[in-house]
Amino acid sequence: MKKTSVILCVVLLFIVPLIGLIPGEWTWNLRLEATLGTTVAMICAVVLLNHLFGYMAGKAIAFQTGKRIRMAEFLISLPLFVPVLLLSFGLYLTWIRLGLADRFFGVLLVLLLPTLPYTVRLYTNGFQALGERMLEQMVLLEGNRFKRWFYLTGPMLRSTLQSVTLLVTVITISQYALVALIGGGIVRMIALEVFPAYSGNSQEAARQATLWLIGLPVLFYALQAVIFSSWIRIVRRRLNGSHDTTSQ
Amino acid sequence: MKKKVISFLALGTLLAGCGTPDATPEPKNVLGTSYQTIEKEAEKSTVRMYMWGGDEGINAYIDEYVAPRLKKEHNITLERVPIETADIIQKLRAEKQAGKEKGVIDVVWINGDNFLNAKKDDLLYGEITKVLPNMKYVDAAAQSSDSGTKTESLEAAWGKVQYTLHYDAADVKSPPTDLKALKSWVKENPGRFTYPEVTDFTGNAFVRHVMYGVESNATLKDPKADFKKTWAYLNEIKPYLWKKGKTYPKTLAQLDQLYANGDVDFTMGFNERRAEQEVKSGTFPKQTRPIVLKDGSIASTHFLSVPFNAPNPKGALVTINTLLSPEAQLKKYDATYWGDGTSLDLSTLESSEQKQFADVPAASSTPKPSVFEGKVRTELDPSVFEMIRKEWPSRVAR
Amino acid sequence: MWRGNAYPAALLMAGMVLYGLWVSVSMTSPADYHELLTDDVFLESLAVSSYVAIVSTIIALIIGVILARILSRTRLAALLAIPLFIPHLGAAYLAILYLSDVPVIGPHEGNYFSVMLTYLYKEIPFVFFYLLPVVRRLDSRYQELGIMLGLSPVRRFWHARGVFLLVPILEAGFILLAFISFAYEIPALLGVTYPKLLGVYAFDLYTQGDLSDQPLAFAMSVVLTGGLFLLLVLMTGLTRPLATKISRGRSE
Repeated sequence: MKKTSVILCVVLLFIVPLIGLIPGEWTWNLRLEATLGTTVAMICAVVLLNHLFGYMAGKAIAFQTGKRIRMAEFLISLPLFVPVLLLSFGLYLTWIRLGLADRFFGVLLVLLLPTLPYTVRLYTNGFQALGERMLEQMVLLEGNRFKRWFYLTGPMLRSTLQSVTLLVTVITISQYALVALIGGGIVRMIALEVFPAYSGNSQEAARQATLWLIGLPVLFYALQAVIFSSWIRIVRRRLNGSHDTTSQ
Repeated sequence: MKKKVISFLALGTLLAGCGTPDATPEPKNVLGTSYQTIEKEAEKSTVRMYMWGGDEGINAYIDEYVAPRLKKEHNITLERVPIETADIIQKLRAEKQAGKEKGVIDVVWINGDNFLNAKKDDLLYGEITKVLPNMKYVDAAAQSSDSGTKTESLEAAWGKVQYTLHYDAADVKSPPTDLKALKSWVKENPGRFTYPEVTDFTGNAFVRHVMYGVESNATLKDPKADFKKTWAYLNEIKPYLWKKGKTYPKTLAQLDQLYANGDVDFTMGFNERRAEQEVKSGTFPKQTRPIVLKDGSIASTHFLSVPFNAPNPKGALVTINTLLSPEAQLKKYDATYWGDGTSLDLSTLESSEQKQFADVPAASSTPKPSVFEGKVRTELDPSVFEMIRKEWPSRVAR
Repeated sequence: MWRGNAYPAALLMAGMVLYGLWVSVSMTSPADYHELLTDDVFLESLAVSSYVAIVSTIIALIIGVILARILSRTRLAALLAIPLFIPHLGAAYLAILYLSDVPVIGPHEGNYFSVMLTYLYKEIPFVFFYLLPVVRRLDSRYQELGIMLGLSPVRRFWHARGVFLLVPILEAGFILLAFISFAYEIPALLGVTYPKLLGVYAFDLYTQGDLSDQPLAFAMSVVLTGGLFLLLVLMTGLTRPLATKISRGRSE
């Protein structure tokens, strides 16, 4: 009973408002769509780098002890409590000197600032919840690192992996100021079209922009869900198979 | 562990290497060549035009009219990049500071204190107007100075507009015609009037119009004066503004939205024809009518320029020249997309072209030219813009 | 090596942040700090930003934790994931769409209710999912053990759940606090002209007009960063021993 009413409240307050976004008729906005190539490429790159660095770092922070790892943890979380935007004005000068300004890679690096600290936290919590014992068990069970990851660690961290991808995607596509500054309007991401639409005078343009803003994370999440379910299916089949052979 | 760190560093160096800048800055002698050569060499290039992007009509004019035309006539690809002008200036400043000789901006839309700052910090390409053939049509008076700053051929006048208030005649039966009457109207109709914050171009200009109405000529000429009467006027109307003056629309676009929704009865802006397209598209109320205050209407010219480190200055010059052509100016003037006042001196055009301009119908939201007689004011010193931005938050908004 | 490696990430983050901070410091003089700390406009902005950030964070934490407790075992938890797909900008658009004509909580009111509601819309689900993995792994046997030992409900809660939840809750709270204090988009779209929230005020100082206000913006970023630094050092120092114990699986 209590649960039902809570769920009702959640639906009413969080889900129902989205109905207002459904368009009367769908029109294509050419400028918006022109940014999709860069946007998708950027999301992929930022997400992959986040998983790479975040996985390694999260594991280390969860299981290592000592002054050095505490220092590393502290350094990684720095961007969480620094006004990243103001800081990027300073970075921009250096990026110009390094030839990174107005370039895809320069934007990619800066986009790690508002994303990677969250990713590392999520991984740290994920690994802590898994526990060191469990990991030790896994090492005993499967010596090969990649196999271990494919069969055990990966599937067990599924919810962490999914949260990271979603969070990073959502943060990446809503950065206007950072992308405008470091990308200089050349690295054309979707926020560059969305932000002027919000502060502009056309309601219709604003609504369409919002639909894309929400549509992209949904697409990425769905894609990831498909990958995960086939991954786990493969793992199950393989594990069952090996179990069968040993029991014969 | 060590192995990992080293491989990471190697990866970093490798990736940084991918971003090495092209070491081929465009030679600075573009302005020494003839326009014919420039035009020929600009073929098949890409031009990036950086401009404020908050008005759908203006965006459509560039995307749907100018870009296809440049493609057809010169095989130039025009990319419009919507970024606030102040941010563009910051970007150029940073590039100058860091010594970036080949930037990314080819054409920039600019005027007022942004131009003053760009000129002061040497952020513009050079005397570009001297090579453009279509400058012969441009109104010499409009071209000579930008809000009191000499243009010195660094930028080309693109449009010339008058500050105009618009109101909904369905709600406002006897519209005020000067600042004093406006004050009484606001007091009698609380919550139905407001103006944008002074960080907004239009909001800042509203304050300057109040200055023209209440301050003495001596005060107006001295940017360091204390504009007490102006602050007093604004504070007097403040409690009767939209949301009791506790907040103001952050941008003109937000004020336009309030006006379109019927939350307030007035909007305002540089460009006496700006309401036409909005009424036609059904955004603004049908009975939108203009007011030109007796206290004066500031005439403003907006310009096009080329930054010091434009990667494609030739393409930029061809683009600007095209935008100054009588046909492009006519399309900008009529209400299809934008409805912006032309920067051309119509007497320099052929009579058939003059007639085309004269034949553009004026909607009932556009004041007749005779209304402006004796009311046109020149722009105040650009340092006043900055003074208003500094003082207004603590003297009025607070 | 199976214990991971935090140094690449640390190098990247610290490199960019410390360098940016160093540039900020080098752009300022002591006089700028004096001007900033005696500037009423800044102090009022700081006060209202703290109010918005603290109130939003605390409410988001409370509701997020309660929802995580109630919904963790249901499949309907996925419902709350939907707002996670909406970027902050999009949430601000929803507020404009629905709250514009509502008195008191509508946009552009000095009480900043619309800004806080928008943050709650986004951050309650954030807290929920930040804590969900932890809540799901809470071992009910600790609770049973507590009953067996005859502990009071409060102590039972602390030993069975609170001790595991404390660190993640503090972390989530800290992240939200810092994020809301500096964010630009939502207050820019829904906030009032005066007093502005810190993010909007700093951005305006930096981009508007000539260069004269820029040192003030840099001074602001140094001062605020320093303040939050202290808070973080304090928090990490206090909670680290607990976190270590928990991951070793021998908490109290």
